[in-house]
Amino acid sequence: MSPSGEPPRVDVLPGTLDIIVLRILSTMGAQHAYGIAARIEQAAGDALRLNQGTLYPALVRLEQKGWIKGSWRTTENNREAKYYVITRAGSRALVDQAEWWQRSSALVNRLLSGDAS
Amino acid sequence: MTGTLRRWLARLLGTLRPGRMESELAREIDAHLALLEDEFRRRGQAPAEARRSARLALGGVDRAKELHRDARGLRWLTDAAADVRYTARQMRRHPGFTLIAVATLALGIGANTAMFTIVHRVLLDTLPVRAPESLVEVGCIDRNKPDDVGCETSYPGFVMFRDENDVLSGLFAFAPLPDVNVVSEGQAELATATLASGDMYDVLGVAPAVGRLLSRLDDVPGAPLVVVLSHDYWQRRFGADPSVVGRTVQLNTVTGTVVGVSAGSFRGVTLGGVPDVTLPFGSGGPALAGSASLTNGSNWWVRMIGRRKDGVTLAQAQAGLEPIYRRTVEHLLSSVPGQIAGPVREYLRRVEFRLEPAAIGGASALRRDLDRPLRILMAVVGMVLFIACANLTTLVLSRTAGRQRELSVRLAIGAGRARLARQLLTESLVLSIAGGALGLIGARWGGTVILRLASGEVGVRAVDLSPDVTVLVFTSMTVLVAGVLLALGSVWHVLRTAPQRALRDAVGGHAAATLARVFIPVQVSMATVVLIGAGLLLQTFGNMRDGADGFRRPQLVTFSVRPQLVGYDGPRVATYVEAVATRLASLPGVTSVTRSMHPPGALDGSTLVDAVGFESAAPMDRETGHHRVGAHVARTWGLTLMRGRDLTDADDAKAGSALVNEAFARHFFGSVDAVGRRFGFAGAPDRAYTVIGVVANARDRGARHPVQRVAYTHLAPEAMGYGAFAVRGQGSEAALVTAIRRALGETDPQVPVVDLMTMDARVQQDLRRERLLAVLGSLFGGLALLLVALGLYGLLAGAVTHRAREIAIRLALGGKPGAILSMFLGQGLVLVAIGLAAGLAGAAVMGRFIRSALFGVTPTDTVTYGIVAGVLILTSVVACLLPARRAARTDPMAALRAD
Repeated sequence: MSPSGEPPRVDVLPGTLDIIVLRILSTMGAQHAYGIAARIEQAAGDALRLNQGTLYPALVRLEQKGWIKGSWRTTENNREAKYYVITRAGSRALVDQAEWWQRSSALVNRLLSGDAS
Repeated sequence: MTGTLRRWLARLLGTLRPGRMESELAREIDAHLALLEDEFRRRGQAPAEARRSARLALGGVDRAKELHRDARGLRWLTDAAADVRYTARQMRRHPGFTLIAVATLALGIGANTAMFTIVHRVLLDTLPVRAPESLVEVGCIDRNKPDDVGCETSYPGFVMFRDENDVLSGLFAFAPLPDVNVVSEGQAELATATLASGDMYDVLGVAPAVGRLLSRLDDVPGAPLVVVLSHDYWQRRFGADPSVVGRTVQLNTVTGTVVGVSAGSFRGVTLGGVPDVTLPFGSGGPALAGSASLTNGSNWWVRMIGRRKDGVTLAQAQAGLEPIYRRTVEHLLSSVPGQIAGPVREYLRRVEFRLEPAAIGGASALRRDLDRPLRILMAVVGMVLFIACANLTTLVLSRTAGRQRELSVRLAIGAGRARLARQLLTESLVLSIAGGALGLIGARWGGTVILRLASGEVGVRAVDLSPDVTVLVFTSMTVLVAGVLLALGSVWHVLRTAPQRALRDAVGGHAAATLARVFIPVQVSMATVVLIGAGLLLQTFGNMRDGADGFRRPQLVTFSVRPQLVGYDGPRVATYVEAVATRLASLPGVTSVTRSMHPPGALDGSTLVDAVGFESAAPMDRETGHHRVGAHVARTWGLTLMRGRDLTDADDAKAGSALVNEAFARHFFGSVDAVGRRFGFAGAPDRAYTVIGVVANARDRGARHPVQRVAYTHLAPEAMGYGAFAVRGQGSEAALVTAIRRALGETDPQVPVVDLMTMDARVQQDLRRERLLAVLGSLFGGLALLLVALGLYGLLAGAVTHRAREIAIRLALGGKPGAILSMFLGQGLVLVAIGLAAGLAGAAVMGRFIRSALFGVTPTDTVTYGIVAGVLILTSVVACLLPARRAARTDPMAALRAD
């Protein structure tokens, strides 16, 4: 608990950024890096500290795995930006990863809450 | 997991082609920043402020780029590539150091590789046959000579083993023959030969290169004589001509047909090399080894190798064959004449039936010969390499100290210490890889030289020195170890020192000095051990070569003849021998000629003496060597006549005259004058001999054997089917040899002449092994000494440089230059003293291991120890003196000003 009484801000857990990006692209369709970052900040509100530059390694990882695909387009304001879409393989991976995430976080929660004796 | 695999491939690509991705990233980040800037402007910020906010929101641009770079490529690969490029630049900038380092490493690694290849091939390699691990040699061990593995049995004994056992799936016999005269298309040439069972090649799993190999049918007595050529012989003599198969050749006095050539990879059953020709026992035995060779149960001359049945262990096989062995022993004992039964029984008691795995190179003369010298040399070479690496480590560390500025800058801008350590390690590895590659090339050449020194052309042909996987693995490991050793000092220093401290120059130098202070005593002690070993081996060689051996060697030429090989019978041999003797005696400059069964210094075999007072003595007490010789033997060989006279032409077979050596006379006749006394040989009771002269002891059996009792009696010319001549002349030895060769050719060109050489050359040949050890030991000893001197010099020179300020102050305050000199000198010599003491103690321990290789000198010979200590101290003093003098001559003002 910080002195101001608010819950402390957390950094993105390493490794979870990938699945977050996949989820965002899956629901929002094609997005560029700035758009993804804006969406994350909006969804998490103040509870998340995001360094937008950290998106780039996640994006390159996902692109190298073939789960997202990037292409250059123009925005509404006539700026150019690299838009990413999720691929079919990416959608499948999202389902797998989300399921795994649910299971392991539920397990950790159960252990931490003292159910196991 | 295609995703991961895809990613990995993409990362590999990303490392190799960074340019395109880099520019794409820059473009993307610029776009991102532009969008952020737009957003902030929309929120009402001024353009400049918007730009700043955009950058802040993005986080560090460079950091983002670096993270991207790490994610898209293989970090370690990129780093390693950068390290190697950097190392290459460093090496170009310091060519002197690079040259010394690479050369030293090449020498050390090359020497180790050469020795290892030889050791691997000669001692460790397995026979290139099918499933060599199930092969066993059926033989025995002589308890008195445990190093000599493998002894023989008789042919009937072999047949018993073969037919009556149930533990071996195959068993074959083999026996080397004396050199055979092979005549093909009119050309005669001596070749090495072996008799073998018809199924030898089958049991071993060897294939023919041309034609076919021996079969069971060839082994039947009365079958036509067939011959198998070795691949090497086929190439050497017949130029790999396939039409040789089916050709009829003459082998001594019989004819045979060549049926095939064995595969090139087959290098023989024993590691002395493959015999040129292989003949089957059935037809070849009676023809070339005596008509009774296959039926005589008391002649034990045949060795056996077999293959264990599946599931039968070595112990089980031995247990299964032991009863058969007992029966062969009984057979032997029942067929020897009475007098020899005693010594034979005694021999049999000493001997133990034993099965040995035959896979490891086969028990062979070459391996026995080289075993101990090779192990010694291997150890020596390893020590020299260590010394070299230790020196280089200190050198590298000192140089690292000199690079303080560069290293500290790199530390300051964020390179981790581990990263720096990796860089230093890369440098050392690149050096050692370069050295290793050079060394590998040189090792082939060096190995050939060593083999030629050790065993002559035979050795070079018998051992295949091309590097195989094992050797390459060994070399790679040596390279790795050397590289790590080199970097050890620097890496340790970099990792342990806090970055701020690393900025200071003096600290690095201090670390180098500490390391050197530890290394120098170790190096000195190793060098001491190597030098003492070299000194002992040198003396051994000298003793053996120059030691008085009883013969007067200068101007004495010997050679052997083999008229029996071309079918000469008794009378024809006698004619030949007499013609040769006359011809040689008439050569200009020749003062004396004699003949003998064995050449001087090559006496073989022994017999028992019957003398008054010795009838019932133990057989060993009655043993003597029996030299069959011609007239003028003492004069020709240069034996010193002590009493009586030499043999003359009048002393023919009827006269029964005998020369004896001192040992003989003293043993059998005590202090009484031996001249005129009579004795006989066991087994020939009606032949009495009278001693007509006593000669001083000579090394009749060769330089290595101790002097024994010898009697010299008349050799009938017609018994010289295998014989030798000795010629003493005046003037040039080379001219004498040429003249003799011409004379022999003119007398009878058909008779093979063997080993025509001076007595000195003959002794040199015998001492090949000792010479090898002496030469290489001295070489490596000198190298070790040089390296120690360099190390000492480096240490003190570095110390002087780093303490320049302290020296200047001392001198300025009135200190005497002499005191400075002795201070530095003392520092160096203290280390040497420690190392020397350890080394002398170590040498005493080492002495136990090389005792068997020494002759005429004890392992703790004080003279050698003293000389080595003196040489080391002297060299160290000189090495230390140079920098110490530089210290003493420092101009204090100049030094203090420069700081």
